[in-house]
Amino acid sequence: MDIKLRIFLIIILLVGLYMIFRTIKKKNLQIKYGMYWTLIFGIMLILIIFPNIIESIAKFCGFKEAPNMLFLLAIFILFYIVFRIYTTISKLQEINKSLVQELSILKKNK
Amino acid sequence: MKVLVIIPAYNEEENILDVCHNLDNLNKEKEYDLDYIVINDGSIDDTKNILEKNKINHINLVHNLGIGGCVQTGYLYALKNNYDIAIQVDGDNQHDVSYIKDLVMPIINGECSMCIGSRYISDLSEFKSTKLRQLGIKFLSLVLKITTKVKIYDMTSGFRAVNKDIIAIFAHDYPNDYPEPETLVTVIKRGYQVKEIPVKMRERLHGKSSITPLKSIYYMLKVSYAMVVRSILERKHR
Repeated sequence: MDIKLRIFLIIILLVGLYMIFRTIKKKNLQIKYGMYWTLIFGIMLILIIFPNIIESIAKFCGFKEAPNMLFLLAIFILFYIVFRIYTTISKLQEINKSLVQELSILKKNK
Repeated sequence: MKVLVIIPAYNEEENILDVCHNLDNLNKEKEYDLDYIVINDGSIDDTKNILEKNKINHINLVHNLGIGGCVQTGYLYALKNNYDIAIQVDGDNQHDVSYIKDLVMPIINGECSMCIGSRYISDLSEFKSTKLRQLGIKFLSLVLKITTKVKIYDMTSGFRAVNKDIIAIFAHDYPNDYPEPETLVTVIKRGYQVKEIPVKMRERLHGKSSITPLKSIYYMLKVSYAMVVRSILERKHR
C-alpha cells in the first residue's frame, strides 16, 4: 500500500475516533455503543499499519484478493449494525406506544 | 354482563356525534349494560372539543398512535375495567350499530369467542366497497384459509365483538397498522371460535377512508406477510 494513502487513512480514522469520544462526552452516545465503534476503528487502524495481516488471512480463507474479503466483512458488519438499530427502534416504539396509552387512560380518570 | 363499545376516532368531527347518538338510541337489552368509549387518536380537527362539550365518555391519546394503538387502548381500558365483551365500531358511522345485539348474542350464548360483522355473507349490506378492494379482501380470505383452514369472508371488517379472553390477548398484543386480518390469524391459531354475522354497512358520508389506492399494494404485501409470520409464530407458541 502506498505510504501517502496509509497516512491519509490513519488521519481519517483518528478523526473518527476523536468524534466518537466527543459524542460520548456530550452524552449523545452510550459508552457501550461507543465501544463497538472504537473496536471497529481500532481493528482498521491495526490493519492499515500492518497490511500483511489481511493478506495472510485472506489467503488462508481462500479469497483471491484481500480487498474482496474486506468489502464482504464490512457489508456483513454494517448489515448487522443496521439490523440492531431496527430492533432497537421497534422496542422503543412499543415502549412509546404503551406509555401513550397508559398516560392517556390515567388522564381520563382525573 | 358488561359490554363496552370501542370507537376509534381520528379527525371524525362530522361523524362521531352521529355514532354516539345512534348508540344512545339503541334499545338496551336487559341481558347486558352497553357502555361506549371514544378513543380520540390525537385528532387535529374539532373532535376533542365535540367529545368534551357533549360529555361523551372518551380518552384523548396524548399522541397519535395510528389505528392499531388506538383500538388497543380501548381493549386495555376494557381489561382494566373488567368488561366481559368488547365491540369495535368505526368512528366514521359506516357500521350500523343496531346490529350490535346480533354480534353480542353468539358470544353470550358461548357459540364463539369472536364475532365479525360481515358485508359479504348476505345481501343485507348494499355497500360492498370497490371491485378492486373486494378482490384484495378475497385474496386475504384465501391467505387465512391456507394458514388457518378457516374461511372468513369479510377480512377487513372493523365491526366485531370479542369476549373476555380475547380482550386480554388484544390488550397485551395488537398489531400497529391494518390489524384486522392479522388478529384473525392469532385468534384462530390459539384455538378460539370465530363466527361471521351478516350486518349492514354504509358508505362514508364525510371524510376519507384511511386506505388510499396508492398504498393498497403495499398494504396487501404487508398484511399477507404479517398473516403468514403470525401463523408460523403461533404454531410454535402452542
